[in-house]
Amino acid sequence: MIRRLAILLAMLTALAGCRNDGPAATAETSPAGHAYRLLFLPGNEDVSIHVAWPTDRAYRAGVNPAAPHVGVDLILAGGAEGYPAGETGERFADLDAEASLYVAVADHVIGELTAKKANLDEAIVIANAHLRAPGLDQAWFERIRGGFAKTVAESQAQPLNAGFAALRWAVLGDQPLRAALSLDEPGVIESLTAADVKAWHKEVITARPEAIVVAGALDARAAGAAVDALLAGLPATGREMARAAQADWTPRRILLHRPEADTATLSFVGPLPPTRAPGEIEDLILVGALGGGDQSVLFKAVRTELRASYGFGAGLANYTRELRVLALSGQVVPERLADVERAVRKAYAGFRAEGPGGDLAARKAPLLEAFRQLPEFVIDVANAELQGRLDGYNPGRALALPEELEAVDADSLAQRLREGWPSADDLIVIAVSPDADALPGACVITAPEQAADCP
Amino acid sequence: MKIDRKPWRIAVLLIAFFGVAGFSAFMFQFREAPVVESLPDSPFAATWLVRTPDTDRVTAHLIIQSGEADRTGPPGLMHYVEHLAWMNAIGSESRPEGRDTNAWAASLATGYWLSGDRSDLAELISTLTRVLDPIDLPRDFMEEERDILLREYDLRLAGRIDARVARALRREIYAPNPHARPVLGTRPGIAAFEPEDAVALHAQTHRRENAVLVVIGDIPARDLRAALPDLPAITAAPLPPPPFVLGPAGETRLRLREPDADAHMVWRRIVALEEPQQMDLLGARLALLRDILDTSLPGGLAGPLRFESFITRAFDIELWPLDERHVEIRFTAWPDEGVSLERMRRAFEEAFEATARAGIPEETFARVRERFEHFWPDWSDEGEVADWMAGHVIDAVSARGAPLDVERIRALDRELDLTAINSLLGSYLRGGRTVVAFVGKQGDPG
Repeated sequence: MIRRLAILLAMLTALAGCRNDGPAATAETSPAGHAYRLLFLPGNEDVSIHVAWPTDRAYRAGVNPAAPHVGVDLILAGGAEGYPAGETGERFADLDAEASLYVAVADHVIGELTAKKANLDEAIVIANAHLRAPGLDQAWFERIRGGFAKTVAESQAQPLNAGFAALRWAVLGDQPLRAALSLDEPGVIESLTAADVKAWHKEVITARPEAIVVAGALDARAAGAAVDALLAGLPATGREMARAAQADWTPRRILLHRPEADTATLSFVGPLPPTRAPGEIEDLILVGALGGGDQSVLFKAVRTELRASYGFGAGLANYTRELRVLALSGQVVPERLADVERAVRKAYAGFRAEGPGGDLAARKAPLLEAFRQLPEFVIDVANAELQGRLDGYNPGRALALPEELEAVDADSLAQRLREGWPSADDLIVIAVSPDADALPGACVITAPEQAADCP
Repeated sequence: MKIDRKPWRIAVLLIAFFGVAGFSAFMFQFREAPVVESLPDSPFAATWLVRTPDTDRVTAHLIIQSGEADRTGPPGLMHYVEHLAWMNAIGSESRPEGRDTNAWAASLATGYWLSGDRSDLAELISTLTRVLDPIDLPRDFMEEERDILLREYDLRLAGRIDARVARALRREIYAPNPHARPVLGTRPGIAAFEPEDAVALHAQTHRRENAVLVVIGDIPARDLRAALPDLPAITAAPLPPPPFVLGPAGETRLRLREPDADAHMVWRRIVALEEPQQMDLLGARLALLRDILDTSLPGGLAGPLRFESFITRAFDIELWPLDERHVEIRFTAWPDEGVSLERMRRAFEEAFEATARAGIPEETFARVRERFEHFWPDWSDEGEVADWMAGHVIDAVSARGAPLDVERIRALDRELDLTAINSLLGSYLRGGRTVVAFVGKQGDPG
């Protein structure tokens, strides 16, 4: 009887233990030798595998920068060995699985595969076929290239995007990186060949990714097997990355004259430290306080007080993992462009000097809720861990974000503003306006490439 | 033996007891505290509570069941009213961090919301309901807000090809109904708005008998009741939405010149159903039909248009109900290289009509039906159910309909059968009103 009671207690303890086991992160190595991070998420029915392949093609002359963009779409849509185009999507839908492959700024191609745990094996077989032996059929290549060219052309015609293209000329000049980010060299997409895409695929989609994360309710044995199966048959080749790029953040005031534009846009842009350095969480709080809603500093300055715009916001972006930018941007009435420039500069200077103020706990609350819920969303938490891995954080950064947030205080925010954020006078101003004289003293240009010569 | 078995019996009894107790508690919770609840004797046209578990946040929505479709005269005035009412009640004052708010204007309703900590519920509702107070803003401020409307107009339309195209189609496909009226108005119309007209329209529409309060949060009904303003209950019946009447049958072709556009076609059709269907059931059936048509399976459109032939390099398809008797379909497609918009239109119509005549094959229906569980929340996840139901209540009230409770929503899934789906699909062949727009550099690049 005693023994049976002991067994019963052990069972109940084990059950209690299962209930209390929370998410955990470990660094693992698969049987085939792939280093990866495992986010153990008990109770989650889905498994998500994220892989980051490194690339430096955006920094190199002599390679077509459109190849990665067309390549990822071609791999996803154009079929693969044993899987004619059109069939994979239906099978994935039956499996309740999804896959994506995308160019992550200039430095990586990221693949994400997510499936119900019970369906993971078949989803991996299909994904592996598409990574290892994509169709790269000429007709599908031309279809995707043509569509991509038209989409890019439509996007580049928008005034705000034309302004950001001019900004890249001002900051990056005539480096390959600028051409890769803007994709605006004449005929660059049209001249892309299937051979270019095949070369890109051979070089980048290899068995030597930089980072792998597996998230779900599976142990290291199952996770390692999944990683090996996903990367099976890919070439074990690699190359030393050469990612040299120079950024010129000399403050300038530039106006791109677009007589046909219906309205004007105004942006202020400056550099921020990369996310591998401390301060990323502070940035999230600060950018919300500066330009994230009707109570933000910029909204109050431009809409509530100056009454010159529907809204004016702030955001964070990356040219590369090293070149990170802060952008303040909004659409304004052309005749008040100069007023808005002064108001934004003054508001930003005040914000940088005085900080966000107010109730910091309340500012943290929405972020805290999102971070706490992150382990419930297998794709999002795997993505956050992958980014942490690429930034050099220890395993489990995605799970420790609430604690990171907890450590943020008024002093760390003030220090971040003082040491990490550009001063108001160090921001580059770029306006796109139908009125060439709307920003007195600005360097007026009529095409984005002329921004490279603005003093 | 007897003694030896006793611990197991105790364990079984304990498990049974706690299991029954837990199940009873679970059932009790749903019986005593439904996810969606309508409070009786509301000081508004209705007050709905959607109970979301384990959150300190509460969001209160006040939805005025009057919108652009109820108006005559220059369009967009209700949007101006929305701006002024929000500024009058909420927007012009500083708020504590963590208290979020916004407002919106639509064809059938105008809405305001304010969120914050649940301990501030009474204050949140009090602040929110000030949008019903008479607008008392300086005239020059109201004139400046008119200029802000023009900036918003530019933001939403000047740089947005898809928004301009949607606006042009809306005008054609919904005519002669008031649903065709543009909510944002027109540029010259906005510039001519008089603040006094907006103030008068506000007084006419922003009344308790037109307003529905929806509160979403982890709060008991008694707390919500205590937080409501101490005013007499509204007994008047809510204003029904303007009826939808099918416009002239036939097809209208539009050629929209957008010099920067990636050339494409937008094809829309509205048809009348032979028998009315409950809106939420109709919405679910149309969503399932959409998923089927989007596939490359037999009966789907991706096979003939994207995979078996290179006709469209990409397309998007949506189907939705306008009311219980009218349904709409919108097909947006970008042609493959060398395919004209006209040829793409013919290929689409042939493929669509072929599948509508033949009906959806059983095997295709079974496969997509199996996937369709994602349309609903995970019914075992209390939080997901509450979030889904919150969206349902907001949508239903905004469309001036009555929200369903959880059990009635769950029951809809049983009515998604192949016969009903094929019947709906076949209805799109019965005439109706069709508008086709070719969008591109020359209006007709094909």
